[in-house]
Amino acid sequence: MSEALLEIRDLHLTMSSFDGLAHVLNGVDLTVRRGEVWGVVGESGCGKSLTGLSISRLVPTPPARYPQGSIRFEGEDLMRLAPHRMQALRGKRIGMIFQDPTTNLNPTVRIGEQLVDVALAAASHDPSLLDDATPQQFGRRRQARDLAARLLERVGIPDAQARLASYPHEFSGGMRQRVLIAMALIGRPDLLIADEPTTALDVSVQAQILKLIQSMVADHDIGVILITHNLGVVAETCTHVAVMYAGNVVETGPVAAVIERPAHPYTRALMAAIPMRDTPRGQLQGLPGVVPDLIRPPPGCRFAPRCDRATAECRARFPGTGPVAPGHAVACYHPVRQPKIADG
Amino acid sequence: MLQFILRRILLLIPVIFGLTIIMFVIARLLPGDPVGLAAGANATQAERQALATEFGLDRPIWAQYGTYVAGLARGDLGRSLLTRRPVAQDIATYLPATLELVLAALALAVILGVPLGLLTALWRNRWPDYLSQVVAIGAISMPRFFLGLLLQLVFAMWLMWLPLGGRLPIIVFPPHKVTGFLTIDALLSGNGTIFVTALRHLAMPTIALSLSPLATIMRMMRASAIEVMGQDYVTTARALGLPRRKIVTKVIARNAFSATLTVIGLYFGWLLGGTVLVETVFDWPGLGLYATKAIVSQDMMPVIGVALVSGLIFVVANLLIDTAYGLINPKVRYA
Amino acid sequence: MSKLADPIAATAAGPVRREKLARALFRFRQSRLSLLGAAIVALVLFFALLGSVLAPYPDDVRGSVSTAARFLAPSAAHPFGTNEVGQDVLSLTMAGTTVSVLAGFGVVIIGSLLGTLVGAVAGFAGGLVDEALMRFTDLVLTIPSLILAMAIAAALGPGFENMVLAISLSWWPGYARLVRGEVLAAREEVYVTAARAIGASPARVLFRHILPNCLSPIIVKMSLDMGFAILTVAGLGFIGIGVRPPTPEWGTLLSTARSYMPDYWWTAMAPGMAMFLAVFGFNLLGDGLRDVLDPRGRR
Repeated sequence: MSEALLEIRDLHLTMSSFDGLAHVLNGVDLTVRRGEVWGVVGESGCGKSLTGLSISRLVPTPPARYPQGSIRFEGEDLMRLAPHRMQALRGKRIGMIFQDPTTNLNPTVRIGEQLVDVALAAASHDPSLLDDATPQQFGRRRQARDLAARLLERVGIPDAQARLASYPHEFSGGMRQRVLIAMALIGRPDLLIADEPTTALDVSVQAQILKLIQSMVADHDIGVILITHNLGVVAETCTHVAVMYAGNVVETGPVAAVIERPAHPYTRALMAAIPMRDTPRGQLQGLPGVVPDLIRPPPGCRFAPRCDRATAECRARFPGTGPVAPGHAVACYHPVRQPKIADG
Repeated sequence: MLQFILRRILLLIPVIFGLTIIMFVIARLLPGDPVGLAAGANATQAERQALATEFGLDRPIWAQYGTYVAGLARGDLGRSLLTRRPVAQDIATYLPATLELVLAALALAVILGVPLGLLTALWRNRWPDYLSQVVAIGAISMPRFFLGLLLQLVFAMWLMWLPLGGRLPIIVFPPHKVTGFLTIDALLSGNGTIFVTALRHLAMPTIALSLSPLATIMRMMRASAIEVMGQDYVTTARALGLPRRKIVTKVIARNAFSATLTVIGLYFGWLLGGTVLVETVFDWPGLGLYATKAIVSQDMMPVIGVALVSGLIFVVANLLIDTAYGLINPKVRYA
Repeated sequence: MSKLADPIAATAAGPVRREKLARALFRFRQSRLSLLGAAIVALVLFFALLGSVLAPYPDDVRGSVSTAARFLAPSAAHPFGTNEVGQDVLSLTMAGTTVSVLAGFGVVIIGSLLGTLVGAVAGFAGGLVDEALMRFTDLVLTIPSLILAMAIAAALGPGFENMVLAISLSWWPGYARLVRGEVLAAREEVYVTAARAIGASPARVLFRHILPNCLSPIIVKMSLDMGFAILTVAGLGFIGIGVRPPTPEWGTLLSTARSYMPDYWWTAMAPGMAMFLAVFGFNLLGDGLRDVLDPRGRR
């Protein structure tokens, strides 16, 4: 296996708030290699977005604090990186796409200028980025502009050269998300973090955007973290999946293995909450209970209060992560072992 | 956009009628004796009658208003009882002085207030921010005529660095009038000495007038910058590796300023009124001083004229601000 | 803003309201600046009530003149010196608090009442009435308020009541706009629809159900306006329109002092500083109140 692109080990994150200290991330582990598309799934508030933001070190500290853990990007610990070196990674090596395309573009600046700014920022760390575009004598701004236009074309915006002069509000939501993807890709990142990139979009646009991300992986051998709560998107797009619950990664593995043989009771519950074509009427199951209070979390497994398999052991101590199959790991004392679910 | 501006200009006509009617109603409430004040204590009954007839003050109010409006169409704002000169001519003399002062004060307030507000937002919840918040409230609370007196006392009377008041010393010939702004006219005529002299006269009134709007614009800018800093697009800009300098100038400052801009328009109107006290302190021969003298002697035509002109300037200034707002913030449609 | 006008909701929401009040008080106490403002305002109100009694030279306040004691420089006996007729400047300034604070309150109360009336009627009636009232309000707003106040004051003639009335007549448009907006928003609330459904008269709906819920922003604006009202009162006094001597008033005192600059500069210091301090106190307090009562108005 190739060397890991990103390796998160035992990442803890606390947030101080008016009511007390919230333990938001509680020992997150995640390894991403080139060519892999990792789906990170879980209910709202389980810490998946904060994991993504932590990789880019974009969580404001304070109120946040990282008591322990490491995030290694190609072997380098991002937690110990000087701010200016971290900034050099952002946009250049690590690209990010966020959920709401309507609020993530600067409303007062033309699309082209925003793209050019990102391109110039990335090129300041890697001048070769602009080389193959336009002959040098036209100047870096012109080169960056051409690169921006080509990127817009790549993400499927017709008449890109002309659209560079548009303002964000002149674009539809799907178009804006494409612009944001173009911005994230302009520095040719090695790792792309996409936080709910399609949640705010129509289903048809959603499929196009996901295809686009897949083609980026195929063309450039990058690693992707796709944060979503939509298991359908994961099944469609990802090679691997990590299920998070209340600040922990409770199950990881290849997408087929996890979806077909979910071992963690929480993953099973998530799967059971998705309506299938063949789900009998009245059999769709909601998940009882709510996400636990992160300020006073239950001791032991955080899922125990909602789990029908929980025992005294679960309530006392957090279970370590162990393999149930090659590459398929689960953090549970009583993982479900069965050939397959939802098999008709 | 042209259509938008034209429509707004057409809206000025009802404003003119409204303003003059309001001011005429106020003028009619006058329990005083403007004719007597203007004619002098020793005037005979016949002389007073002649004066009243000359100025049409013996006619019913609606007839006076009709004459006024008819004159307005020709640019005639009536005549001052006190100076016996046409009000329009007086206003043309005094307006440039006021505009020069108000624009200088507004420029100072914006040039200092916007960056200071941005800086304090970036320093949020650190001691320079706290300190600047207290200082800003203090600046807003400072009576500008008291501030003017203090400035005069320190810089004109004790240190003798700056002139006490006025626009130019009497012995200095003003530069050839082009804009009516002495500083600009001096530059246009290439007279550096007069430019410096005019600037030295302008300094203290400008500071006295601009302190309060400066503090308000700073607070406004701080608040909107803090709001903008919480927006998603700022996080995105950081996630995409934009340098901090660019995030501050292009993302935060630009969006925060477009929110602050509307307040600046309102402040223009405030300054037109606030200049009255500053002009009084510094003997600045502008509209405010003119209006004050007219009001004290119950000479209503100049007061109506000044109210009309300031009201129109206020409306036009806001039209300009709205246009600028549209240029900065492309989302605003000219509807 | 609490929505507790509905009697049924009010009983149920009693504890909630107390909780909200407790939180608001907590937040207010957290802000040291607001506390400082409250302390200054308390001091100013104290002098407004008792200034002329507590003054070290009460006779001077009543207009006694002593040519022998003209223009005495600041000393232990006269911390801020004496003026052109030998009166103690500190005593005059202390006594002057009454007029400034009374006038400030008068302006804010009359101005807010007028503005609330106009705004409430406009917002509640809607249609042509709304259009007419708001166009008129906009019109008054275009005239610089100080010039308008000066013109009205001159027209009404000198005197305390006339001055207060004149400033109030230039002060109401801000309230009219504020209240209209609030009423328009409140009109759509469920409890208003409910009150209408049970057959409450329009006046009852407006005064019993809508207006009480617009109170917080009005109170916040009043507290923020108080300082500026005091400034305007003093400004008119400074120009020579307003309260006539011998009633001590800060603006008039400052205007007199101005003619004896720079030799007798101290005559200007006490009234000027008193003005600054009073306005500063009210502004700090108003800022704190706004953060507590009307957080969304925070700008």
